[in-house]
Amino acid sequence: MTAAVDVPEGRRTLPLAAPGYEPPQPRMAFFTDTTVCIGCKACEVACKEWNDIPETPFAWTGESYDNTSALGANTWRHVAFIEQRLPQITREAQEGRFAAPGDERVDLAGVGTSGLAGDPGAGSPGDVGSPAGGDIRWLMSSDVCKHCTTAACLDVCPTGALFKTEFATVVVQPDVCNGCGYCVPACPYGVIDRRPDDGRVWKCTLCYDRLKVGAEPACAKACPTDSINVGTLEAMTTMARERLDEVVAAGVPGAQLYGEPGGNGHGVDGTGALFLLLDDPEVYGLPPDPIATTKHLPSMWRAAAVAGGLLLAAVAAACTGGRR
Amino acid sequence: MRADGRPVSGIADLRDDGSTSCGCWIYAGCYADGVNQTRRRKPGAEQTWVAPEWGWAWPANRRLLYNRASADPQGSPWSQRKAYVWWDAEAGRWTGQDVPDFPATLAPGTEAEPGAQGVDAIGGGDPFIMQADGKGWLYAPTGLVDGPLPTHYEPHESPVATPLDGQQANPARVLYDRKENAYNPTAGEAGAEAYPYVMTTYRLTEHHTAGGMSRTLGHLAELQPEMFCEVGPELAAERGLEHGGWATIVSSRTAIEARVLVTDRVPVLRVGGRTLHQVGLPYHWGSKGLVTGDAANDLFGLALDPNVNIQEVKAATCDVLAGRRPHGEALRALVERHPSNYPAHRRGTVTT
Amino acid sequence: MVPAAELRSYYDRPVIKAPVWTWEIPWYFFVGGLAGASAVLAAGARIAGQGRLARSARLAAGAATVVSPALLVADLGRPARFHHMLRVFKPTSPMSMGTWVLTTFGPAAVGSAALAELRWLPGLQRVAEGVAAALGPGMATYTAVLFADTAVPVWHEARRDLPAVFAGSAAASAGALAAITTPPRHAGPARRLTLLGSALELGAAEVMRHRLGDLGEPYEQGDAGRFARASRLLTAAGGMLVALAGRRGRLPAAVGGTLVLAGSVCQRWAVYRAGFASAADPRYVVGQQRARLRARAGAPG
Ligand code: SF4
Ligand code: SF4
Repeated sequence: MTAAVDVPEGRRTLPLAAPGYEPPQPRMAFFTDTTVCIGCKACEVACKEWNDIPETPFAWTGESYDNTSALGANTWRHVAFIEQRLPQITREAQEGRFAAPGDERVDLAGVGTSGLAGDPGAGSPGDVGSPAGGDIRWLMSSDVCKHCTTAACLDVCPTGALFKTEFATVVVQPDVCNGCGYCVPACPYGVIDRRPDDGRVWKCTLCYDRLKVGAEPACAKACPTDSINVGTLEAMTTMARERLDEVVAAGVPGAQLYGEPGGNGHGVDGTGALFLLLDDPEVYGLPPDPIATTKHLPSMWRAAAVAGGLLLAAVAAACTGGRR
Repeated sequence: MRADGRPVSGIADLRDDGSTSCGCWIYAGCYADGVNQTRRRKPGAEQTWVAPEWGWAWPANRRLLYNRASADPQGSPWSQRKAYVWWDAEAGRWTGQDVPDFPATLAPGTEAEPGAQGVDAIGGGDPFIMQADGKGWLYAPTGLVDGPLPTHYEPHESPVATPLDGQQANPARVLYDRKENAYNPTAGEAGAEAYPYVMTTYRLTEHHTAGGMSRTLGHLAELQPEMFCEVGPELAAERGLEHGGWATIVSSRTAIEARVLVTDRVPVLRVGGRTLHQVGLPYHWGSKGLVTGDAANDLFGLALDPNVNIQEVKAATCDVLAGRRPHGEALRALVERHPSNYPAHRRGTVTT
Repeated sequence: MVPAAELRSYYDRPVIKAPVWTWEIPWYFFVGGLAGASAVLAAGARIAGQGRLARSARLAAGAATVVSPALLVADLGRPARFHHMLRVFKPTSPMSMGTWVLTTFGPAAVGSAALAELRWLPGLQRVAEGVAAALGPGMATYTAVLFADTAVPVWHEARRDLPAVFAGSAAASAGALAAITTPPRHAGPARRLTLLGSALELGAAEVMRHRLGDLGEPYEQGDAGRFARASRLLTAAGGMLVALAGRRGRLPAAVGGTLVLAGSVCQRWAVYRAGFASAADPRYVVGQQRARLRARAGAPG
């Protein structure tokens, strides 16, 4: 197990510390291990309590036990609930559907995903006989801002309200934000959002105030199963990889890391929030190949220059033809 | 509160002569010295690891109940590393990190007088002061009305006959023979088929008990904002329930409505050769608070277990209809369309 | 793109957030484009010695410039803090660059028009006119980069073509407005610009939709589809009318010009609305990313 963080070839190195701060601090990151999440939502509530976030509108969705639906201005940790039929997942794993490893032997012991309604191995005496019910797995996952290395939200912010802290986390300064809203569609993960009655944008700060005094973020503190871990990016990467090995060895189908610079985090040059998922990212509402679009800015400005040139040419052509 | 308006400093200050008043004894002392003790926020780093000055815990700001058990019969900590409460022989009293949950000067080794009553029956080595003998119990040798050993009974309302022996339900259960507490006919009785499903109640992590407290908090109310019932796809198909729509759940007591959550998590049971559908009912709603809804408890009859008199809210029978419930007279009529066996068959201890 | 049935999502919920912008933004894009292209036309006409046309274009640029910031500020969540935009100069933010373009262009365009009308300080007026003309193409196209630099698939994947669409639309609208406000015998260049701009707008939009492939679906459906169709019709009809009949009198020029202006407005609304539809449907976001992943996996090496 390597402690260093791999960087895809040809990319700039993944900073393990934020540039421009003296003395340099190690980059801090989340590792959310969804395999042990029990869906208690303590993280969601602890976050709202600590950060004094107003509640979202009360709306029952019928989407399993999830009634806050997505990250947003008023939800900085969001717990997703996904109900799956185990036979189907197992078949898909055998067919090689998942991007990442996980062998077909299904033994869910010890990874917290055994179906409520009957463990396939348990040999229940024929009582649980529903073809549809039974043999299910219930995935829960606490989502959060990814604190991207190349953060589109920050790049496009025209006021400088969004900035990189000494922990290399991405934070909004509410006293600077003027609510232009540009970061909202810029974020490839759909994280940051504007609070309608307030006019400014809000998102996870990785508890900047708590990190400053050496305390762990509220969500991690409240999580009773250590699904949410916080530490240096280096430590979190190591932890995530070790846990992935464990889960794959246990034969859980679909296990994969999310956010590594050498994996699906490459479009943002790696994230400050790693996840261990048990299915493809889009099943959790996460983009499978996010990209910080600001990386394409040079080509966009070039296209604009060409278009501007066309405009000049059109005017020039129009004006050279005489008055009539 | 004392008659002169000064708050009491603890339970010991309470008097039965009318000179003090108290809403609930366990909270006596939470305003000691006129200070709201529950609002104390001294950082953990500035006090002991037990942090007695962070907030306040009932009773008497005691953080662990029965904490005398952290010391051996002679009064020394079982583990020095985990020393919590111990006997200070010099001072002749219990002391420690926490407020001792024990008569302060009752020395280890003290024997209770034979025939003593109440607290006087507790010896210096008996930490469990709320028990008659001050001991922790692993096995209840006496006192169970239907004991000494447990067996399986069907619930008072059950769709199936017990496969075990002839005794369908607990013979010692407590029933109430009152019109508003009518019971559904159980397996084998006329009309039982009108309640073909099994209903059960449970809690959600997001709410506390019946929700009286948590439904007033936005951060909890938003997480589970509406009463719902959980059914499997087969039952939904059988009764025409639409995911996200409404269902009315009917018992002989009343009918409640709930949003429908169709989920594979609720399996179909095969019991006694027949297919049995279940309805899951979280029971956190009521008529007050930020989010309101029908209360699952209203559906259940009072059929109590004979020992601790807890009603059977984990298993009873019901019917399920698609759509919302009627109100007022129409609700009554809907419930009465279904048979009930009031007056109750007096199989158990019937209290009126 | 992967067939919808094979794409998975979290209860069909959007993966990215749709913009929080409101009606001011497409209108600003139109007005800003009109201002920018008009400033260029003003300078062009003046160089070509066509004072009457230059005056119309200069006034159009000035007037449009007065409206622009109002629209922008109104769209902010905290309008009173609009000046926070001026705290930083940030090349990675098209909005920051646009702000600086507008802050420089605005006074130049308005100053140029005002000084010319008042016949004050002709030297300074020329400088202002030059500055406005130089920044005019920026005004007309930076807004396309602003849209393209988001995670919205229908915008970002059109990043090569969107600026040309906006430039064409801006040119067409500047030409059209000048054709309306200038006596026909002085308005030849304006009519020609209307025609060239319309052709560029329509052509570039066609190329854009073609290159978007399935991702361009929002341009066929719903609100965006209606605006896109309206824009095509209005621009084509108006452009033809201005070009063929505009010299015959003010009425055909006015009717044709108005159609082109409306077409230009619809163009921005089509793009704007298509972005919302594209962001709202996880199929677009996930489908496009899955396709990208497959392409990368399949690519040799
Ligand atoms: S781009 Fe999105 S996920 Fe990345 S730091 Fe910004 S808000 Fe967080
Ligand atoms: S607190 Fe931990 S276990 Fe609970 S929902 Fe959040 S991540 Fe899952």
